[in-house]
Amino acid sequence: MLELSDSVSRRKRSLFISTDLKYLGEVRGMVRSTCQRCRIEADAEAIAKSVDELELAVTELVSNVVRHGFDGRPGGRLEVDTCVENGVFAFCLTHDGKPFNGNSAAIPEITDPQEGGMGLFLISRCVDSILYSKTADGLNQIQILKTLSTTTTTTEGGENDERNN
Amino acid sequence: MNATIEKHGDVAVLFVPNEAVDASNAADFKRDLESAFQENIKVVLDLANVEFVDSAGLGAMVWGLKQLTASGGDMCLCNVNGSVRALFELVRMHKLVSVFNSRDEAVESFNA
Repeated sequence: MLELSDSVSRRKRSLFISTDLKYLGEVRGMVRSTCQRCRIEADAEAIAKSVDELELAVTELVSNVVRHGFDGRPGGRLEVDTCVENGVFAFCLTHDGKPFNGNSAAIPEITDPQEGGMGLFLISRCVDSILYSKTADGLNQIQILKTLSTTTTTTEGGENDERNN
Repeated sequence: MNATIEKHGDVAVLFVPNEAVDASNAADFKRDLESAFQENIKVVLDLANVEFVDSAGLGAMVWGLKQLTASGGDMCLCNVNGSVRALFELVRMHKLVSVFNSRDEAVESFNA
């Protein structure tokens, strides 16, 4: 199951997928296309690096939720929302699997490559913040934020986001 | 995943065909490594086609390296692309494995 929709404002994109790791590529593609749809005034190399880091962070996050929130079972449903506003990329993952509160989890400091257990460390190094919460109807929600630029962003359709500075 | 093997003397170059080595295919990747290790203990992993690696893919490489060194062999990497190289730097992969810019350099390193 895979559905993609754009909101009317074209700022927010939504993807609905089943809890199957085969969709990791689609999630990464959504992150990249969301960033490409915004004309961000910043150094191209810095933007490319930020997008690479975001792709890694969301891959680790979705993998963790599928494997631990749903014990790897493919029957669950994930909602992924992305948007860029004021130069900040936001990624929101909503699911009804087992909750995981990373706010209280100790993030290990990785000083040597490991066979496993590096996911949270990598997420923490690739994004500005990660927030775990519950929606009003009790679903688990995880939000990732990363600043791409501190100047103007414009969506491809010509809508101007507000200036940050 | 169907990684291909090319022999250069007693060195086996394992070419990874996928653009991504992540949690969706890391188990397949490990099976390809395991298969290659049955007949080879000097292995070069050619990542020229790989544009993305996550912690699961990285973990499979670390697992492979441990398997090989435990049996007296060794593994090195070559043709590592930008975002993969950045990940390797983040986790200090160079402490564990040698990374070369080309396949020839990697193969030569076993004969040095």
